[in-house]
Amino acid sequence: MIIMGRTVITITQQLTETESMLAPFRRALRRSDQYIFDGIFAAARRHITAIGQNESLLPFESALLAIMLEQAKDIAALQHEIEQIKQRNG
Amino acid sequence: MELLSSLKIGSLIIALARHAAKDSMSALISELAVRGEVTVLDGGNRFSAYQVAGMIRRKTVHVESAARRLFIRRAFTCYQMVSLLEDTPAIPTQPYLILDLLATFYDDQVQPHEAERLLNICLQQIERLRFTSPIAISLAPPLLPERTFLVEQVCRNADQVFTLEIQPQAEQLALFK
Amino acid sequence: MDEQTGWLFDVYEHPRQGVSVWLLSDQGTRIHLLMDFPITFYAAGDFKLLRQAWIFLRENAQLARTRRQDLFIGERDVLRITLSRPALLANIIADLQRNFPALDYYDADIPISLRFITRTGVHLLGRCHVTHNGNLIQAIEPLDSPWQIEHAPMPLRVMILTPSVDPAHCPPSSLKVKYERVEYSLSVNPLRPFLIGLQADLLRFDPDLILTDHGDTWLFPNLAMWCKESGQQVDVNRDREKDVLTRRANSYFAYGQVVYRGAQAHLFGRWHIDRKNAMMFNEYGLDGVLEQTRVTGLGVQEMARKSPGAGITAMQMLTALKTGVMVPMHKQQAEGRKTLTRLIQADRGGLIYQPIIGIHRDVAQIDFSSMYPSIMVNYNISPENESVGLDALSLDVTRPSGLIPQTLKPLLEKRLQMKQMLSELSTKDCEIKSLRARAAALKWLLVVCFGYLGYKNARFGRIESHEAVTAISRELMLQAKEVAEDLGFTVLHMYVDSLFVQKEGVKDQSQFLPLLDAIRAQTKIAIALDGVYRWIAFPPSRKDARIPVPNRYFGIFQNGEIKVRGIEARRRDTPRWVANGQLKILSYLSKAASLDEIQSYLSHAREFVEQEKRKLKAGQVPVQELIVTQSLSRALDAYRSPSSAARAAGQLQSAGREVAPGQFMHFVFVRGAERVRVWDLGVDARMIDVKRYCEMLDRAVTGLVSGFETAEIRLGI
Repeated sequence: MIIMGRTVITITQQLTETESMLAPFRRALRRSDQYIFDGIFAAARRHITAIGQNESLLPFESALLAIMLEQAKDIAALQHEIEQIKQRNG
Repeated sequence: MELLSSLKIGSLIIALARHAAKDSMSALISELAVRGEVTVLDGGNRFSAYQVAGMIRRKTVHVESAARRLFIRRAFTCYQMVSLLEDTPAIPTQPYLILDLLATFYDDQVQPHEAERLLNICLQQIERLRFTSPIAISLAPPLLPERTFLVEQVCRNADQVFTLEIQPQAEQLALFK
Repeated sequence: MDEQTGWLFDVYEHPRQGVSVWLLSDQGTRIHLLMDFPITFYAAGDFKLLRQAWIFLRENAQLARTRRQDLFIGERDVLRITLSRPALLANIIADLQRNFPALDYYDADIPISLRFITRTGVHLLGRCHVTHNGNLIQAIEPLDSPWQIEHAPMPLRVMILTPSVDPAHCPPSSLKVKYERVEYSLSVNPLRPFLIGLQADLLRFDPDLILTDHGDTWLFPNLAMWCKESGQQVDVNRDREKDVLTRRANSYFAYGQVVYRGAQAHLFGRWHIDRKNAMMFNEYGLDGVLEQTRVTGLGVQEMARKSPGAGITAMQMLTALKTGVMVPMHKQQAEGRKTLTRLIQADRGGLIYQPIIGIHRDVAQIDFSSMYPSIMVNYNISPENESVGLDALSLDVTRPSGLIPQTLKPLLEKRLQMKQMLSELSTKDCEIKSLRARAAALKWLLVVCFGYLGYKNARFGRIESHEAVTAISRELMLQAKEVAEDLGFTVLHMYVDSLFVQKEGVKDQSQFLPLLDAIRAQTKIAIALDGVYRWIAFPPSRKDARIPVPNRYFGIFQNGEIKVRGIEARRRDTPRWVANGQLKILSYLSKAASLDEIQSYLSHAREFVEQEKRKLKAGQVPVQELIVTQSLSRALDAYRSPSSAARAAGQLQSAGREVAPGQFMHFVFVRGAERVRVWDLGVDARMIDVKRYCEMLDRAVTGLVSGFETAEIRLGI
């Protein structure tokens, strides 16, 4: 049963395509940097729904927002840890 | 780009290639959308929305306004393709791009003579649109050699047929002008 | 004049006089009656062509000009063509299409049972009252409705025929015959006594239903041949005038893959169902098939073999017939114009929310009940309505119900009623099995109706309607998320029509009820609690542990039940040994009363895995448990490099067997260049690729336990 529609690729697929377009960039990075680079895309993948909801013509722009969101969370978590360490050390 | 320069009112150009010349057609569509209104009739899921949007962005920051001028309709059966063409109004000077016109005609559930009959109706409609607009059609080679006659049928009235890549299996057509 | 009361057993075309009607009377007799049945269809289009068609047809049909409703176009001028009997239709339509291909034809390929139902009001398997003169029906009235839940059960006589072995492996030596308490084997050789015995059984038992294994693909095709060879007649049909209706095997593309359908053998005056060739029979059995027949109007033999999609199509045709909408043969609505912006907005599926990776406690899964059909009914989504996207949310409620909502509403209501009854019945109630099967059968019809709205060949499909449904579903899911978050819940995951929610201090089922009420009030769609997990794990992608995977999880409900999605144990191509291993591990883990106790159970799990691997190496695992099942995705010569399934198929082909795309290959991984060995040809247990199977088990188990071992529970800030 061929369902009509669903000809526009999903956000997930679009991100994968963007990643493969960036393959030459990634290749030239050191292995340790590659791991962090992959983490950036993983961060975007945690918010596929929000990126999709934006219904943007250029989804990577929304993906960048998602990446920034994850980084902001990491920073907040680190700040929290620092506070806790400071408190423990008096 | 060869395709672009060949587009003139009254002209019918055909691009025959693997994947119905998807990338070339996307480039053509994005260029046309930047310049004005354009209608795309997609007969084989060859329209890549994000690819075209990205190409437009590389030409202009005004992606939104270009996107609003780019009209798309999709056909999923050859009957729908006929329907699409029958009720597409001829808007003077607006280019019409028909992607992978024959994809739904290659369906082995549709008898060859029925495919031929329906294609004839489509071609008549294309002639109607051609009066006042430039038309570009992309085709992918048939999956089965028995359907090659459909490609010949389409190319018969074309002004130019571009073969952008030659696929070893596809029969050599004698129509290239 | 005679009168009968009973059940409508079957209806089909009669070659010379209208339709054949079989009745199962209250006296216990099976009566074959006839009924005059003129039928009508329509042609529309170019006026000159219609005129010519008129001249073409006037000797053989009653003709009239009239106006009738096309769902998309509205009223149109049509030529009404009436034939005196249905048997004439096929040839006339073929002639018309050949000579006037440019005309549009309507009501030209409607199954005769649907026409009968519309004309008489009697539904298949429904109770009715018949008045007849000789064998000609004068009048027939319905006595019940397909929508009632309780109905008088038909006293069916069922005969079961099963060959001694799977005929695909080797020719069976005997046929087991089972009828009520009688059970015995008929030896297939010598042939004549076998046929005589079978004929005697059929006469003696006079079954209403012949249930078989491999009847479609082995028994009936061979029976025809054997009868011819030996000159011994076996009357499988009650209707002696008719031959067994056979259909060839074929492969076709559906549901995103190639599906293989074996040959078919249909009987007249009696039903034949081949359990091995009936798509959904294992899901809901005979009760389910009968239920579908009752509500769809498609005959039992058709319904057993066809997908639920055919059932939904039949229901839509019934609604169309009843409301005077013509059913087009081909003409299809094409998509309207969309800008690029609009296309990107509209062309989306259900809402899929990335899960929070890790293991979570006291999580409730809540599911909307029949979400898409409910949306279609509540928001009046139908191809003839102009609703586009979310505009449907603010739809004019005074607008009359469209074709699709009209079709679905009674189906939805019946299913919801059944579900309600099931929740109230005790699990020991003898009715429960049948009711469950019937509810499942209806569920399947509902599940496919959304797909059919967007199916390219559907008569009443329309892409904008399909898109409107998903747009509304996404909106409702986001509303549900907001309601949950307003009530202090964290939404861990969402998948199309279900949500996974968690709140500190909330673990009892009853504590989630206010949430359900609030979501129901907001969305106006029924929603129910699937259960509360003691713990649930959302494992990450195997490629990168930082990437979440939707709809992949495993967990233990509070009642100890395990639920898994998206992991090996759920996949068809996983061998039983691996799937059992995973489930065994899960059952170990389920013994932990809480997440904190998991560690000790993990070591049990590890021991178990090592033990299983030792058993495998020692040759103690039965080869059947190592079978991998994969379907052949294309014709053998279309493979550039053969998949495992292709290799298996190649072996079968070399052995002289036929293979077709969509067929399932059963094989085992073996050492050496062959790599696989197809099960049907026999497998030498010593050749098993032990290493590969151990790796499969390791991989499956690691997927489960790794999350626990690192004890990483992402809190999220």
